[in-house]
Amino acid sequence: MKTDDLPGLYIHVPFCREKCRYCDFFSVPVSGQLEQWKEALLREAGQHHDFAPQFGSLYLGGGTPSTLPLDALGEITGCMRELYEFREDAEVTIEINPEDVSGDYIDGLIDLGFNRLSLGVQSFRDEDLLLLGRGHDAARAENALEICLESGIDNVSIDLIYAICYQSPKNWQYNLGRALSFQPQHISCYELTFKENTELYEMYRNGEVLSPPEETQRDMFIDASRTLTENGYWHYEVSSYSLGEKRMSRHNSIYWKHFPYLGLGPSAHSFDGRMRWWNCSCLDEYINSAGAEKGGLEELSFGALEMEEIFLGLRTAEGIDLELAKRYLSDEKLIEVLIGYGLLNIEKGRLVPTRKGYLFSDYVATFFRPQA
Amino acid sequence: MSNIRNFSIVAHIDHGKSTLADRFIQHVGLVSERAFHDQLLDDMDLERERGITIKSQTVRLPYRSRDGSEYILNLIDTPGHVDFSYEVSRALAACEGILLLVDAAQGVEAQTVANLYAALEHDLTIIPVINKVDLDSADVERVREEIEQELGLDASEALLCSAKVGTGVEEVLEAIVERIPPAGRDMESSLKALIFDANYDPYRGSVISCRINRGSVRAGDEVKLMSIDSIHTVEEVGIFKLKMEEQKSLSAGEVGYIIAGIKNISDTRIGDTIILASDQSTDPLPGFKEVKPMVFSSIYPIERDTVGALDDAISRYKLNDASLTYSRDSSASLGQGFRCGFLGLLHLDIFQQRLEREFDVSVIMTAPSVEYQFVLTDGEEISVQNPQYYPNENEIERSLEPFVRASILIPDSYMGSVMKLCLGRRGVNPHYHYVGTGRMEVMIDMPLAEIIYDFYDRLKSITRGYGTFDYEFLEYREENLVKVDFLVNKEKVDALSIIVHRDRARQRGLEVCEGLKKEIPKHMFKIPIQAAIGNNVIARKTISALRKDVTAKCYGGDVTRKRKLLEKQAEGKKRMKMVGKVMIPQSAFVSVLKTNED
Ligand SMILES: Nc1nc2c(ncn2[C@@H]2O[C@H](COP(=O)(O)OP(=O)(O)OP(=O)(O)O)[C@@H](O)[C@H]2O)c(=O)[nH]1
Ligand code: SF4
Ligand SMILES: [Mg+2]
Repeated sequence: MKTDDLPGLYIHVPFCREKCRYCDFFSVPVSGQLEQWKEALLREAGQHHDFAPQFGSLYLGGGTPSTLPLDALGEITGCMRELYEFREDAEVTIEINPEDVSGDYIDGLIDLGFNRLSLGVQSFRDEDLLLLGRGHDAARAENALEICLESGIDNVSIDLIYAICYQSPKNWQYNLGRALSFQPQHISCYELTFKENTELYEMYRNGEVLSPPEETQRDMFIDASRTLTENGYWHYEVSSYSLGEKRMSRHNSIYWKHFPYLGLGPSAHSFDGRMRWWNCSCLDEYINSAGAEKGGLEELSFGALEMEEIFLGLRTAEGIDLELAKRYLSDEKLIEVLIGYGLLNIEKGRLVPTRKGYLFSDYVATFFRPQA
Repeated sequence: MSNIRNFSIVAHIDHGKSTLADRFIQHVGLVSERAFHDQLLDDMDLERERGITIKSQTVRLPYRSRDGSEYILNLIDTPGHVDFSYEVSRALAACEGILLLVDAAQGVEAQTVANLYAALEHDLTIIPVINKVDLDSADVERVREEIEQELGLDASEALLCSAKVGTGVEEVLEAIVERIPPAGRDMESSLKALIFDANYDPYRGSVISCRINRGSVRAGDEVKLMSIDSIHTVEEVGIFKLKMEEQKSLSAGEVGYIIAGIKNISDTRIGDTIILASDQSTDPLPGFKEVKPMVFSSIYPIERDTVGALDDAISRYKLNDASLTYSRDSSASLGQGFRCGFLGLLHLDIFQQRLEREFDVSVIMTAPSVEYQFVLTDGEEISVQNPQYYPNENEIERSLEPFVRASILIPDSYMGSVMKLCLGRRGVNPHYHYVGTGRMEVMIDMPLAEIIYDFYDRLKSITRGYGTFDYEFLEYREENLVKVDFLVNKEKVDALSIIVHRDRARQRGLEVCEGLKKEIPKHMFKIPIQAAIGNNVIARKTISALRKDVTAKCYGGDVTRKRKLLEKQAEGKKRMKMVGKVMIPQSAFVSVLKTNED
């Protein structure tokens, strides 16, 4: 896996048309605050103009960036290009929701320089979408995906969620089959998790919805990995699949490779290789302080940095340097043990996870001892 | 006449010794009001956290009496908990008198009596002091009676004070200078000093606390530690005044410290006598009684620490806690380690905490055991402190286990449930009587083994915290005992074995299996847990295999959260030991102590 060694720029667009039941990302209903947010964002961007000489990616996430009209998006990307230097072939991604997709809108995005689309499909089944509280149905998702793929952008990613309450392995196979029939360049498959402070979590606690048993969750993970890899996708990170190396998410890989990134907008996180800080998750406060009011900041010790490198690396196909791994194990023999369990392999001096290793990546990580 | 008074404050736990010491310190103005805080002498973190004294502390107080004379008071504040009674007995050897504190509400308790006897053995002057007279529940008349009846002291000599409020404190100070005999000041004879405590300074070696019985000592003197006949040059002498304070010399009657470049830890022995190197004729002082440990536990190094590093840490610890006994031991499942003897469970707990905090070693400790005695068929008698060394079943003629007399104080409404608890723990021969309105004392004979696991916790929870409990050793009694082994993933883990009464074997076996199931984390494979007597499995539980363990998303904001979680998990893992293919956490070894009776 090759990634740029240039930092990435993330912009958090904190607006959604409606809150999905499972979502704990920071977002508020689309409102009149758009202008104020944009103004604060641009001010915040100005404060960090010297973060890095050059960026290798720009990523608009959220929230739902596709709730923004093209002119607002244009203003933002234009401003970013003025303030920051981007490499010529920088990856420029925008997250979009099916209900916002139209041919014109996508063409507009391409004109603005976006060269990667991340479409929030989640499922091709109406039951699932209803339960998740998404703003689109299956037909809409398929139609949107079709438009994206036909736009000629050639770098479309879709998000899918599995283990959605009553979803059966067969239902999940159906979703995988539908996804494959479109051949998007990238697929992310996330297991549904009940996060605190979400509607679905409350429903789960009240017994209104169930979670499939762990065995089924595990089987669904394996189904996805098998099916997609058999069909030419590369399983390069726990939840990520791409059609070939070139289509993996370069921006997301920055997080996993532990490269610096600058995050703008409420709740966004930044990391400069030593410090990590984040904005508060409150739009009013963000607008008032233009990001000057931090939600938190931590300076990472060398040991903590390496520890992160280890557990993040073990979630990717690239794995981690074997010598680094050894330094963080209480006993080198543990490597043999983990290999014996079929979780890891040694390849060219690196410790890399197997498919099963992805499934147990948290478990594997616990074998590594943080050092002060 | 000498103006030095050496005395200890002794009492039952919580009767206010350290608080009274605070008042003395303030009265003589040893610290500024700004630097003062409660229980000033309890300077160990653990002491502050738990609100109890663990180590005796010496402090020198300059005191000007009412008639204007100047005195030097060497005060030793001692711990009240029975598990630290060795600290008290050693402190007494450095004194001519004691303040025997009695809580005005609680009255005379077990350690009041025990400590009085210890002081009488040393021929010390006793000043009874009734403390906490400020309390509403104070009953001075009853306490006076107890002092007469239970302690056999003249209650008219008892002083009244409130260490908290400060009343009567000056009267106590006056009584000290009046009643306690001045320390003998034989400065002419050659040096003779008693080592009653020590600690280890990595740069300077042993810092020896001693009482100078006669003669004097100063930097530059050549001295001899009598028991091992080793000679050292004194580098520094001084006294304790909250901090160590260097002096030109220490002389007869004084209590202080000596630093003499003693780097070899085992050279310093508590109870040893220090004399001048040139002295050929002096006999050593009698030293201290051997300690008799009551509970035993094995410790094994975890992480990358070697048994050598552990050895080093324990011997340095031992310097500062003479009541610990230990010897090399090994276990098939846990490797090389040490078998340690303790005066009680609190002692054991404090040992583990201090080892970790002060000496930076992490250990696995096995569940505590008592010492059993066996008479074998060939007539040989053996004692076993470690279930691992349980003799061959068919070679045992008779098995004996230690019994204690437990004394339990409770509000009478809990009588029924407390009796049920005691009888369930094989208590026999109960007696009870009222000790005031609504309060009862239950005396009952119990196997020590049955009270070293969670008995106190159970008692506290049954009585909503109102029950107190004390015990004294009674005798060894014949019982039908058996060893129960535990197999984790089909492998016997010898460090988990327990010796129990045969009738209780199955229930205890199941309880331990359940405990282990709760404590051992899931692995990549199923783990059967079995309890067995010999080859007979008597209980079984299974830990199911881990099916998956992965967080779906890990982007910008998730990384910190994830790392913190890992750090927390690793903290727990630090206390794990790999046995065969299974990681067993420290908590699992201790879970042997947990029961699920209600
Ligand atoms: N009301 C009242 N409380 C007191 C008095 N003296 C001590 N106490 C309280 O009793 C508790 C125990 O006091 P300590 O001085 O720590 O008792 P101790 O005898 O040193 O205890 P150990 O060293 O653990 O045996 C504390 O909460 C004190 O504040 C007193 O005269 N009156
Ligand atoms: S899942 Fe996406 S669209 Fe739904 S609420 Fe969350 S951020 Fe908004
Ligand atoms: Mg105290």
